[in-house]
Amino acid sequence: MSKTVPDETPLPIRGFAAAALVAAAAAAAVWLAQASLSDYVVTLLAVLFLNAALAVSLNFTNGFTGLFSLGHPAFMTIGAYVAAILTFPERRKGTMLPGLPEFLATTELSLLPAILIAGAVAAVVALIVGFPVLRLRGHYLAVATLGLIVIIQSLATNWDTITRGGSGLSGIPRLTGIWWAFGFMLVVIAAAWRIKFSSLGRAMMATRENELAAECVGIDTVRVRMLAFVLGAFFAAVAGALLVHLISVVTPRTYSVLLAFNLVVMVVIGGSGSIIGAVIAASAITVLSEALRPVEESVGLYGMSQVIVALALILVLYLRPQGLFGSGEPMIVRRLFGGDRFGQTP
Amino acid sequence: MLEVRGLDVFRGATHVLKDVSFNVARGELAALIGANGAGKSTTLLTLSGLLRPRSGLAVMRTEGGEIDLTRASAERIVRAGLIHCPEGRQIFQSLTVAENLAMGAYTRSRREEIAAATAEVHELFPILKERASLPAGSLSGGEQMMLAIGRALLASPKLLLLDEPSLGLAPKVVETIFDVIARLKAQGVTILLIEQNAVMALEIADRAYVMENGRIVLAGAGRELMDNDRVRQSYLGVPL
Repeated sequence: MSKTVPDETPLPIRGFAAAALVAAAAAAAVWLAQASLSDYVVTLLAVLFLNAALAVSLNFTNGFTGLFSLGHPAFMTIGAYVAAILTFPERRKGTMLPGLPEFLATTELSLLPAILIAGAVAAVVALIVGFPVLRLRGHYLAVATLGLIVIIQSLATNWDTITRGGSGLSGIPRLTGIWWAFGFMLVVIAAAWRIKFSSLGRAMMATRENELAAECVGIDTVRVRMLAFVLGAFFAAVAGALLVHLISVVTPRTYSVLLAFNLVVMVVIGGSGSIIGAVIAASAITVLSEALRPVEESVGLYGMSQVIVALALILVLYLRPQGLFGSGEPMIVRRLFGGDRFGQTP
Repeated sequence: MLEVRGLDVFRGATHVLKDVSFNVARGELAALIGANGAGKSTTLLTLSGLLRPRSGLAVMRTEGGEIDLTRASAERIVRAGLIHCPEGRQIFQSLTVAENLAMGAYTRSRREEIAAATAEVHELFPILKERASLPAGSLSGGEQMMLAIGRALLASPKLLLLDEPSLGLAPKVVETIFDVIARLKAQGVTILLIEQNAVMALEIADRAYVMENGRIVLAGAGRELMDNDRVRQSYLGVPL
């Protein structure tokens, strides 16, 4: 790949070293935050990191590949239940979930293997859903994933022996902390970055831009879309699993269609396809909705923050339809972390 | 190099190609002419694996072996060297000119070879070098066509399928495009060209096929067809 934009001044540090340095600085800030701020703020930060990771992972489909998926809440629910059942203390499983099959009733995993299995299960579900749907052109995926949310929700409500039905699972061990959320966000950002500026990322963006042309240069567009969808589902499930180990409860309604909407808004405001944009938009919206909560309560206008988020979306679509950064990354970040101009909307 | 026998293709319920048979020999420039809706583009889409025939045979033979175009995936067909430059300048609009060219080399991995191929394309179409860092969507129609052909060339075609390269272009640009097609032929690239501009196509074609309503109705050397009354009347606008 030829460099199309010459770098004006050489940066003292670039590529992996720069990324490591920025990550270390961020980690130091996180350490400072969790040492000095209240539990409430620290938990909020963890939620913020998970939201950022979710928005970035939605970018695989909705940004890079130009698909429109609403499926994140479904995959998060799958991830949450799978991981929660796996990490639940064995001695309490008997009273909480007496109907569990033997092999589940006697297992008690630590967080890491549990979230990996959760991600894998969601990835398999994405594969099954994607197989028929991703062959079709148009917005079939939006409809199919919307349906998937409903299916997973009713499955979680009615499969009592595994899920305890509508009352959900409570008392999930609080294994996630701010460090898990932060680390996971870094992993998702790094993975997205590596993919975006790789041949797979280019194939995704070519598929988004012009499917016929993409096939004519030898891109298997169905496979590319499938990869984007499955990767997004995997990360969504892991995030969903991490989040319930933070709030220690999961019900069939923990992750709803509303969440899908909010995540789509984050991606659109950040710029569909922009990783940094998604992180910034996710952070801003998380902080905004949390800050508006006390206001809502004092004026008695519940749901106001949701209205404001929706208004923000309309405003962005009206004033800057490409979002904060279009589908690209801010110049300075690109130069720091390495990554050519590819996919930059001018 | 390309052998097509008894190809029947349906699009939805419509029987578009009916028992289509033709050949393209190695190093040859073959033209497929005919009116709108005759089935020319459908033929190319079928050969590049983007449409599947109901029945019939389409095989490409190269030094690398033989490939069944009716079964192989579009990706494998590209890797085998059959490159389809589709109708209507299908470029990646928001990517730059350089990136568009780079996408052409998607199936190739040797950097030096890609760089050399890019230099060759720049030599054929100097404007693409000048505009390298501009978004492809900002190019003029003619430049976009050059970019589409350049991108196809970066895939290192053994058999190049060109669908209406002169469509909607100014006469001067059409000349440039045809010059390049002639040069590619001289370099030994086998070409199957679809054209509505039958005069220009027949002038440079070694062999030509006339398609009407999904059937090949006439075949012959390019010059020969130019003198054919039926062709003269229907496609060259010459009254009898």
